Amino acid sequence: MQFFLGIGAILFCIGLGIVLTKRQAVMWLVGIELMLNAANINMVVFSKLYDPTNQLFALFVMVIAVAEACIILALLLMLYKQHKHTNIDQLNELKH
Amino acid sequence: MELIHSLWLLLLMPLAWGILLLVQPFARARVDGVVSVVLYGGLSMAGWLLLRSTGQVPGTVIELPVHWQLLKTYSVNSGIYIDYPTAWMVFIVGLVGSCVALYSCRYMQEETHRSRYFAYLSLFVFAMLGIVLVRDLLLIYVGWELVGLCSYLLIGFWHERSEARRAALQAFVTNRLGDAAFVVGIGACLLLTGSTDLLQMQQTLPWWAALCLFGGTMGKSAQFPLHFWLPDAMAGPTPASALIHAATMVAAGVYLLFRLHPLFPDSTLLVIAGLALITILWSALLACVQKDMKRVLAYSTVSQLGYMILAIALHNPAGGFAHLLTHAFFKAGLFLSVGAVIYYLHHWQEKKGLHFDAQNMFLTGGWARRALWLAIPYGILAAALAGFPLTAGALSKENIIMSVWASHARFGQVAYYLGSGAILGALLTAFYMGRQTGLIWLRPAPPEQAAAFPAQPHATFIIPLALLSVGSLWFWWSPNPMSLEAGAIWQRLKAPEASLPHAIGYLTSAGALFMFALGAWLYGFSPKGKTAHNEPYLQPLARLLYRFCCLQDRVIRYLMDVAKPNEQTESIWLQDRLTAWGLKLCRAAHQFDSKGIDRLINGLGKITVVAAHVIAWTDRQIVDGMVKAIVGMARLAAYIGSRLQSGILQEYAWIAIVALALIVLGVAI
Repeated sequence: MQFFLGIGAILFCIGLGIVLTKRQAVMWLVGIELMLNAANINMVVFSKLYDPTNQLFALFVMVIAVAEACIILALLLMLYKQHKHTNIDQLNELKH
Repeated sequence: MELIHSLWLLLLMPLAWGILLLVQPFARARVDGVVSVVLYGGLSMAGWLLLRSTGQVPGTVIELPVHWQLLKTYSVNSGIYIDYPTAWMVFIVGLVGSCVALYSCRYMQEETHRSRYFAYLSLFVFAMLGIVLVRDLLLIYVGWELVGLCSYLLIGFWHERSEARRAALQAFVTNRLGDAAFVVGIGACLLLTGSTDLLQMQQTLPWWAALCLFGGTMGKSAQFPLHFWLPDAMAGPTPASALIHAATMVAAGVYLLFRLHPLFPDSTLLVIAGLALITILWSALLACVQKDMKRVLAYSTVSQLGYMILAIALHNPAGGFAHLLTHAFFKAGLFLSVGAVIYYLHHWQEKKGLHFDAQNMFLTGGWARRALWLAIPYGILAAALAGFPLTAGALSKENIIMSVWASHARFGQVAYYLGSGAILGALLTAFYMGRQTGLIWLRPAPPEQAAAFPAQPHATFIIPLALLSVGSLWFWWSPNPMSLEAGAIWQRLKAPEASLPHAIGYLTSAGALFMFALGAWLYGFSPKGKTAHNEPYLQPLARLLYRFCCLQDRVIRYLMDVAKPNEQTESIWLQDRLTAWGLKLCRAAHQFDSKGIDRLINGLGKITVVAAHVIAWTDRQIVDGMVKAIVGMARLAAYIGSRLQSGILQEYAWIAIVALALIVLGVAI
């Protein structure tokens, strides 16, 4: 079981690393998805170990991840149409 | 509401009248003057009645207490109290006030802002009554400052003249100096005795606290070294000068010392007596060389205040207080009579379109022959100031001189020095009054001034002068014309161990008569061959030598005529020589005051400026520095904090992660 927890932790770190280092919004999406999946693996492990109802959270997360991916992809498309790029650092019009 | 509560009207009525006049000036009608006269007359009547009721039984005090809880642990008795000296002060303030107001009706007739003048007078009277009626030093200080303010307003009444503005400012600032010390003294009283109530403080103060309290007196009563503002205050209207010099302003300082001196240690009182003696002699000497007739009187006021303070400092409060009262009569009267001369000269000058200094004694003369009705009151008042027998001034001044001599029982040898100085001062007083009498009244008038003399007396001038000069005779004060000891004031207020050397008093009187005659002779009569107006302007000592030389010249010439007629040059050389020496000697004193004192004051001013710079530096560098350091730290923190909010999402994410990691780490540990 610790093996699967380790996979979850590694996946989470990779996702975090992507979010903290990459400039592209699409890569952020990938990183977030990875982190969500890391969490999912943890949920599954804990449901096996302690309480099977934890699987419910895993299902929730998958649904939310899908919905989120849909919305973010739509947003990214619109952003790309407007700016011809999806570089996060340059998207600062609201700040100024 | 009992009848006794109407005593509050003593304070409220002058205040209300003053405010009314300020708010609603009477442009044309003479209401302001007439109501003022009636009001102050009423005050003096009330004072007289109070005097009757407090004078019967020793120690009678009428009290109207009002407790004002200032702090939880400290309350001020802000009520009024009236005992024998207070009743005297109310009487004298009212009387001098009504005389001055009546006189001002004519003197200030043509002023456009006459109502404002009467308003200031009324507020002045209110402030002075405030000082004498309240019993707590904190409240006395309020009246004290109001008196200072009113004197500023009155001295600077003709504010279009630059010297009036300057004199007003000088008087105000000089008084601030004294008042600063006074505030420190009040604080010391509160700290050391736990009370500022005049009637409750019993315990002797340390010397520094006593000196601080005396600082207030020094400023208000123009004692050396803060004496110079009073002669300069002559820039104000003459009746206002009379009020300031007689009853309201300068009396406040003496009155305060009168109340406080039992708390002072003997060493401080000796210092005060020494300062008073310096004041007496210095200002008397200066009065001998003045040209301005009002300035002579101003210096004489400073000198007489010195007498009062000398007496009180040497534990003779009765003599000092009596001199305060008699001085109020004759000094107010002298100012009013000299003011009348100035008034007529000024009007004549305006009619003729001439421009000369109407206050210069050397430019006029002969008033005794043309205006006898002015000369008689002046004569009585001047005699009272000079200390002639049968006058009130002689009673009180000789009492002071005798008590100073008698105080050697308590103070030892130094009393003799002080006593000799006081006698010298009395002789000088007689001399400069004789000089003024000679110059203004006795010597022949300049021929072109014949038209300057009034055809008939004005009642508004005569009535106050008559009142004040009758008051300056002896019988009001003591049935015995040669001694104050038979009088009521002495009986009520005397120090317990009092036996006075009367011979000294008689000698001083005789000396005063001689010196007065000498002054009048030197300045009122000219030697043969000279008229009053081609004799050179000379200071007293020089003039004395000059006269002596004239006599000697005649003697020598007579001898020469008998012996050898060709050696006259010798005596002329001697005469020139002596006059030059005398001139130098006399000018030295004058120079010292006009230059030396100014330099001293400038030096003090410079020290103050340096101290101010030092304080400013500490203020800027240390006090401000602390504030600036705090501001700087806040700014630094804000800078660091604002760096965190870069607007770059990934940095926020970093911060969130690091923070989370730290929290997790903290929980884990």
